[in-house]
Amino acid sequence: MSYDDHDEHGHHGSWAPIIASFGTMLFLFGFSENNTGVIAIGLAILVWGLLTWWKGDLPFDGSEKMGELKSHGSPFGGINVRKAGIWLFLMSEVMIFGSFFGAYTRMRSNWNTHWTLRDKAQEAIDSGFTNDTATADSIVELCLRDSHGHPHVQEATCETITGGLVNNSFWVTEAGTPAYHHVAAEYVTHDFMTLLPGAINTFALILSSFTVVLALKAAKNVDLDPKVRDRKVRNYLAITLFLGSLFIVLKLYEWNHLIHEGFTISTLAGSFFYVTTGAHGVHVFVGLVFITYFIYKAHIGGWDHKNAQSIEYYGLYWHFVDLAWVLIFPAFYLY
Amino acid sequence: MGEHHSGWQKTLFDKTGKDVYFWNFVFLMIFTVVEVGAVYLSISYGATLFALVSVGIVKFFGIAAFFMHLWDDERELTYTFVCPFIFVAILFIGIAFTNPDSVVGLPAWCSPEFIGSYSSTVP
Repeated sequence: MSYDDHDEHGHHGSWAPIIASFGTMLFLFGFSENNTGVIAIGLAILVWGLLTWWKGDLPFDGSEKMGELKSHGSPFGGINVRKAGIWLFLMSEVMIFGSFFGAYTRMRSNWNTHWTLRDKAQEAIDSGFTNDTATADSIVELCLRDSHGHPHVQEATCETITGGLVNNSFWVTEAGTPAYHHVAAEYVTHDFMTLLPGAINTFALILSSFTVVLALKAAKNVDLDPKVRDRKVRNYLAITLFLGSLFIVLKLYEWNHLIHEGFTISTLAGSFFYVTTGAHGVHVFVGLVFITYFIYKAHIGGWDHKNAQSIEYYGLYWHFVDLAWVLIFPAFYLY
Repeated sequence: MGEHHSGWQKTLFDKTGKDVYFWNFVFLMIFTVVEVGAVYLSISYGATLFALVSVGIVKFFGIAAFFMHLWDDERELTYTFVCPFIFVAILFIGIAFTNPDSVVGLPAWCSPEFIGSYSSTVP
């Protein structure tokens, strides 16, 4: 760390994140143990940690004396510690969303169903239920093809060509019907009005990413009158808050609609959809909590070119949320 | 952060009066329209998939390179961001695009039964 004058000034280095993390650990541990007392203590420590953090951040002016630490040594030498930290955090986020996409791709690639279906088809051939020319592969292909080339179950065809061996009960699993029976895209693309909330959300998130950039530019602009600067930063952040809130509202509306259409979390495709979009929604919500504080800080004139990097680091998180959505939207809504 | 633009970003600003963030925003919006439109156009399934993946990659690049400043920032940060994608690629190759049959076809020494039988022979 590059500062060594702790005694002269208050600094931004703080135990608060560790306290908050410890509180979070206790809070979640309490849940796993179903222990209300531990949950309450964990929550209290978490709130205490966050309040301490918040109080420490309010007077933060971004100077090195106040604690904008720079790392030295490989690999982040010369880079602000907080900046390196947020990138490492985003690194872990990539892994989280990567695992969602890996699992989802596995489901959509149909390997599992192809495999078990091929076994069943071979059983039907061995039992003499099929005609002489049928092969396991040809049965699989006939079972899983529609006129547009999309993988889609042809239950009646399948039942006929396997002599009833692969009937409706084959497709119903403990996790519900298989993926491509009904993925979310089938529900939302058959009618443009159904797709509209997801499409608006995509535009809203991209626009909100831009407004965060504008807030950062305004905060860094030393040529602006401080009052004008504060107003601009507050307004751009408030627009971001509005767009993020719109995202959550439309998301809930869309979920409600899908559930009423019968696309529930009890199906395989539904569980992938709701867990992934839900995890993303939680990220949006957390971003909104932080930006509410940022707006308050802008309202009391707390941002200038010296500490604007906090907005930049927040922006990195918010852009990542946008980035994840840019991939989730086509994968889960359009395809 | 990319306020100190140079090279093509400065030229872009000088010629249009708008910075790279503005144009990035505009292009992201346009590509989103293309993305949604591709689903409703009567093109083949493969072409739709190609369009969605292509537009997704372009938008991903636009956000990461310009909104997240990776274009201008230290290369170490780009490496930090790219690094987990190696693991994601392994995840995809190992799980998303493999046949589950390969699990059944694992060599005997890799199965739980083998480990159990080995343990039982140890005095």
